[in-house]
Amino acid sequence: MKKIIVVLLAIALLIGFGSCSKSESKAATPAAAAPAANTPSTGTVDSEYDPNATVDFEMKTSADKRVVTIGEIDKSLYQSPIFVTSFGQSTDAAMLDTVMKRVGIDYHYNPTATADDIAGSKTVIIAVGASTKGLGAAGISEADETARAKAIMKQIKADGSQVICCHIGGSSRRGALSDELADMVMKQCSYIVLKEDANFDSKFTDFASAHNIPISLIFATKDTVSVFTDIFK
Amino acid sequence: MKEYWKNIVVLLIALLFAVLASIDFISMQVQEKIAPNQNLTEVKMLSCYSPGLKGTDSDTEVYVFDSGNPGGTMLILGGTHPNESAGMVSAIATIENLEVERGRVFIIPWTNKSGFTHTSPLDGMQDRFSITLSDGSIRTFRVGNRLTNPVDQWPDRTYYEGTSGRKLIGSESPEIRNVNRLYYGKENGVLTERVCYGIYNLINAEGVDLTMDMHEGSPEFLYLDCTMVNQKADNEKAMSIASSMALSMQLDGLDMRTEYSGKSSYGLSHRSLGDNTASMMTLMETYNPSMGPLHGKMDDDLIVNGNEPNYYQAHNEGYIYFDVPENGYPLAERVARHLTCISYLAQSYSEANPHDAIVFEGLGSYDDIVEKGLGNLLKPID
Repeated sequence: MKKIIVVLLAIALLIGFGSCSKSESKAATPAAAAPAANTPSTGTVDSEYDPNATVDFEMKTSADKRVVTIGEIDKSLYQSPIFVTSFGQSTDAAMLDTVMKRVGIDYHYNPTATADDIAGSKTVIIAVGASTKGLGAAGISEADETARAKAIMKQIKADGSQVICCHIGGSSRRGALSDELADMVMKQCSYIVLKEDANFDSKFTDFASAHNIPISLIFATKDTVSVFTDIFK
Repeated sequence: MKEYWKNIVVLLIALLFAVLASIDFISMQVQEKIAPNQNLTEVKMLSCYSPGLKGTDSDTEVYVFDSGNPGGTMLILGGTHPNESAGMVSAIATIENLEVERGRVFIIPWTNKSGFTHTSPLDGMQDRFSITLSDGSIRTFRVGNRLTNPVDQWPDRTYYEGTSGRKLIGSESPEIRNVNRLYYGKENGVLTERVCYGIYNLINAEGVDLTMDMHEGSPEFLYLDCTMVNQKADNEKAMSIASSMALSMQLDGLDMRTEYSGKSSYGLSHRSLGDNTASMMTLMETYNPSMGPLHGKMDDDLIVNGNEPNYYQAHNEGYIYFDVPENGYPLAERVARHLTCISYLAQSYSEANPHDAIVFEGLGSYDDIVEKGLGNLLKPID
């Protein structure tokens, strides 16, 4: 009798092992947490920049020294009417719009403005930074955005308007399209505002130095408020 | 009979363990109590908006604050993922402290209620944590699983296409039990979809203008301390409101940025409810070290004090982008961040829509909440 029970238990054990391995491979559900950990609630990542690849470089700004300006800014250049637009449709343009509201001056804002829209503006502030999500939200292709940017720069040149290049999205706004748009704006600008962590390769400070353009390095996006308050008020 | 006594003893011991485990498992169904707030107007059940939830473990409370004054309507979701504790605690703290002056506020603290009835044992996740209140009493909260309890919804289909068009295949199959993958839901779909449908229908039926879905994430994620905003035709206005909120938080010394909802983020609240309702949708995540694979011992210190040296080391060595604080990121700070975000979001919305303003008090500033701590923010239960 005892032997029979032992044999039956051994068979039950084998069946148990068998069914365990089957259910694991079939459903794979006990490991629900494993795939879940890779699917954040915020959704898909939208950046050409790898946020985990940190770049060490010595920053001039810090939490204590929030704005560092290199060169002399001629504030008298920046007259009304002022127009604010976006090159790249990132959320930085909406942030810049909010900043201008806090500064409390009259300006026009249209992130998808055409060359005709900005015609006649004496100062054009351009939020530079490409976002595939932003382009998608605006229903604009990369090629169309580049063409729009070129047309606006052509209009600015014809009008003789002053251009402020505003790159306030930091290192996550560096990438092929963002850099192409930044180059386009920097060639015609008379002042650059830059969130300094985007300058890890000295791209912006080197350009400013080579072309004698004043540049304000800011530690965080919010420091744009104090920079523009100083310029416009 | 005598020769089987050992077998009987073994069976009885096994039965004892089974009974104890069952008691512990069933105890997870006892939900947290919420302290009364005289400003609370009404408590509804989500089944009012999704009849298929009635009588199920997923039917959940909807706390309604109606000022009686004209204004906009805001919906606050906590506990979409029950293991992201700051979302639930923020929602409960809001219910216990809110005073609405204009418009209405709807709050759901346990959005995936079934998910609160089980844990993630294979992650070593503990099932509860405690907070000591100012009067010395202790309140205990559950840490559930981000997915619906398989006891309530099973099996996970190997292929499923939700109403948003999101296809759940292979390793994503268990996400059929994830509330934040199945929006905008289906009236007669799987249980989790019926929860999503309830929220979708609530937004439509009540004319919700602004929704915040509160989440947490492990430090490896890119979008911590970031608010996702829906994409739709009027997204420029939505992004303007969110940017104003973000700048206000930044000026208070808090990191906060905004991003558009991803084009392929189908089924997620900020994308699919944004696409299919009139509400402005937002979702915010705070850093929760207990959720990441690098966490050490799972205890109240990790969940409540948010202290995980492994992540601090990983950040310092360049493996983690998120700026992990050396002394941890306590639950009080994470809750304060969520509540500050809610307050500034409503304020920015009201500035942009003065005729549909949503005005409330009672949550306090970030510094107030952190200084007083959760022990003062949460109220004693009689």
